[in-house]
Amino acid sequence: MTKRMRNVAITGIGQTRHRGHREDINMVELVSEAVEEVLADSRIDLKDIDCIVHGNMELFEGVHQPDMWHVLGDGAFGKAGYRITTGGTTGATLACTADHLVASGMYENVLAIGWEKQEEGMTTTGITNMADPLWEREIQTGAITGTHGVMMMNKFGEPANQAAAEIRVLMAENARKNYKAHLRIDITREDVLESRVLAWPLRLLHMCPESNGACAMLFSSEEQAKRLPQKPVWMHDHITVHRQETFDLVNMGDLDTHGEAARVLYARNGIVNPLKQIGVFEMYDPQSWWALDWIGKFLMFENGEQIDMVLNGDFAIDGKFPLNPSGGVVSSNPIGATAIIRVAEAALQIRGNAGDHQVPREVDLALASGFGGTFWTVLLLLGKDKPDK
Amino acid sequence: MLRKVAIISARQTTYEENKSDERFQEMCYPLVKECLEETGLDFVPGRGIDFGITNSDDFFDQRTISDGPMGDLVGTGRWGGEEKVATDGAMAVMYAAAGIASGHYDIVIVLAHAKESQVDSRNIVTFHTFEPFFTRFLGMDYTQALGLQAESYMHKWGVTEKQLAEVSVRAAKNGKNNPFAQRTDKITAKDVLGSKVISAPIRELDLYPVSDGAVCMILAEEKKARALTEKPVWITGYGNCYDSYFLGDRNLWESMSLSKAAWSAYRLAGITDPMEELDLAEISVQATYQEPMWYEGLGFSEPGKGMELFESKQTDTGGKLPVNPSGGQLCGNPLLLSGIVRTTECYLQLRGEAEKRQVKGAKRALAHGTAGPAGQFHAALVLENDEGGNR
Amino acid sequence: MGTKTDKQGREIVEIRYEMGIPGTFATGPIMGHMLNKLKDKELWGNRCGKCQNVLFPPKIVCPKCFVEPTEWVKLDDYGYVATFDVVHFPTVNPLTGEMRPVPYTTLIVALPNGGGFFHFCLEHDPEKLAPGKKVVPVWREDRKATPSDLEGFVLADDQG
Repeated sequence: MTKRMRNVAITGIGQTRHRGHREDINMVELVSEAVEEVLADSRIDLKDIDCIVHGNMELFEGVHQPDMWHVLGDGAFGKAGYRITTGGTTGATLACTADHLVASGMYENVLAIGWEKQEEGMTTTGITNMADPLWEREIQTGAITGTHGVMMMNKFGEPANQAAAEIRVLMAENARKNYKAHLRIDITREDVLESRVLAWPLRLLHMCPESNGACAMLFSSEEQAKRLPQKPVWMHDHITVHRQETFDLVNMGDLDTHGEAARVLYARNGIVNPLKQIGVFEMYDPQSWWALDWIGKFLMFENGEQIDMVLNGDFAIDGKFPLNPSGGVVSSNPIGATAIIRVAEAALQIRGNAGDHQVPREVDLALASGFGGTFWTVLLLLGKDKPDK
Repeated sequence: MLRKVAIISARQTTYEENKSDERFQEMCYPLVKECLEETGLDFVPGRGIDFGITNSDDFFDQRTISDGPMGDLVGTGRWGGEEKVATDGAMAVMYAAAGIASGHYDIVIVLAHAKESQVDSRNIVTFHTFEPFFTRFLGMDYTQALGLQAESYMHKWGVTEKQLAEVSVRAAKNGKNNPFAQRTDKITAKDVLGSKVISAPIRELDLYPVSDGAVCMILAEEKKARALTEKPVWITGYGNCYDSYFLGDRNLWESMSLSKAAWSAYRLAGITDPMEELDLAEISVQATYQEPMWYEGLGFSEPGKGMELFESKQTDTGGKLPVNPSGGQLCGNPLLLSGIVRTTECYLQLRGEAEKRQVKGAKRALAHGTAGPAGQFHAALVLENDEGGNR
Repeated sequence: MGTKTDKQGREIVEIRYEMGIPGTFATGPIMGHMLNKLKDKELWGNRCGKCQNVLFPPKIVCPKCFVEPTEWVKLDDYGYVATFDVVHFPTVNPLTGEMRPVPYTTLIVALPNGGGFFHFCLEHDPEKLAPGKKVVPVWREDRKATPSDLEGFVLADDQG
């Protein structure tokens, strides 16, 4: 299990500017903006693309099988296509799907498109619909929960509170350098700590927005990548930990799919010291408390060492371990696209053309993560060089 | 595909109009258990099932991330992962095969389910496939789209309602041999023509019934497949294709995307004459007009000659190329699942396990699925057992 | 339905639509049994013979072990707060289409003889709530085998 039949490269990236309101276009036009950009970025001719992979959270926009309508904007007419939807992790899953489709020899150039016209639905209601209608649907509040914050405050006290606010400030700083980001705000720690309480200690500024946006990525075989001008970013590995239905924290463990994903992925790829070996991490952070908790899990910390790292500025773009140079999910969140944006941004960093939010060092290996469902994690490893296998 | 992939186990529920005493968990779990028992596999990545692909539709399930609860059923609680394919079931099979052919996984379980009875009307769900600016205002849904396409096809090629009624008659006749089928009461053409008009020219007995059901399948790469079963069913050809979205942008009487999907599959499987080289075909017929129309797209007959082929009886059981010996979708299976149900039927046929509906000596079969309004999207799989020529 | 003009003076048309997909959920023998017992003010879960965990709501298969739970277990009529959330952000309840009044509180309650599950907490003061506090269920007068038969939990101290 887990070998690679052939190499797969990311050869094109396109994303829209993610916005709170895009009433000027419909969702097909939104997708086509990203597709036009990826075609321009990769210089590939639409006729050379043989497969489109499409995904979003369909109950948000209230369109059933939107892949049918989107043929108008994503180039799928006359081509093969797959539709994979896994909730919040959809975008990351789409990257895994494209990887499988090319690595398998079945297709040569696969276009993966994640998107969401978030404003056309009621997001939290949509998310709440994930819960079992026979029991939890009355109760579940989606992503608005302070429970992790409560646990971290109990364990680490006020420094955790400060770090959660500080990590948000860092995300805003990075987003201001990324013209694609949705929320590009100038905030201080005090602003975060004084913002309105949503579910204590989760505050408004800790929370991701609802964005409209799309992101398209081109995945090609090695042969095809040779013909295309962009520096190829190689898919090394990925892992999907999509677990059980329940949030039973009492009996089912603390739902640490992040740590599990990291442990297995690192072991498979010779990553013994992620802090040193990984050049940049685009982590899916729907809220700053989760970000603070999960970065610790991904880095295999056991005693909250990440809290000091945040307060020391180690996660800045020019810091020891750059985290979310794009500004992260807390700055832009078009749910169906969000996880693939993480892959796209990680790839941009390896290519060296992320523009103003480029990490100022050569990046060899990059990580991208997706999150969704009942604490699901998808983790992808990208590299400047081809993988050994 | 850079690795050979086979289906090594498959189970389906009986299809019923309303499984009101079961949730999807009760539909699916027994199937998973049987597949695991048959293969002796457990959910242990690397030494058992590596991954799960589920197939469901958030709208029909009325549940965001409808694969959420499916994780328990494909063993992800122990460790593992799962991804959902949100379109016709044939794509779930194809995607699972891709995951194996890529080298990432060796053994994948596929679990598909749908309960059309859960929503008050399946037309409300398919209504939402239409865009909200124009076609929804017209009240379009899949049933209406089928009506439009039927009218277009019948007019173009001079096919009559009376001729099409025989498609239903034959489906019911075949379905009688299928213990999983839902609607198998013997009917005559008169019954069909006397049944209620749903969306002219389509009548109630022309159309597939509302249905609940589930399918579970296990796919494996070559070496493990041979270790786990005596009768692997190989996927030797695959293809799928999208057509235009707005019905007015297409010539509804023909299907470009079906031809493309089918010939892609045939090419990979080394088939140049499907009527000769296939031993049976299980195709997704949602309404009677689709039987002759899909024959044309699949290359079984020339354009416009689909009805002629049907009436020649060459596609009856016992004919040159039996089509839908199971009775097909007209005997009942949920819309979303059709491609994977067809694949399951082909699987059973190629293993000689199709009992009363068995096509003798079947070596090579075609499974077909479709999605979207009026067959906008088609998927085709060529399946072979070890006696099939293309190994 | 409406039109407005954007910053560049172009006319923008928006179409308003409320999506409703009416349907009936089957409960099956396992959830159905649990829901029925709510009428008797009883919480019933099932126990996995392998890991001994009590699953509530009851499940057809234990997510950890992938074996069928072997027995029904009547849960205690009190529990402890595992964690809680006082939510101030109003959202629509998808089962009723109505906005939830805020603040409302959710909790994960741990029952001593097994079962940990999500429900409403009827106490909204975060000062009074803490992991470990004992809570007891509050039942609706008029019970109909629906999840809302159990209104929520309150602090045992407050019950007197």
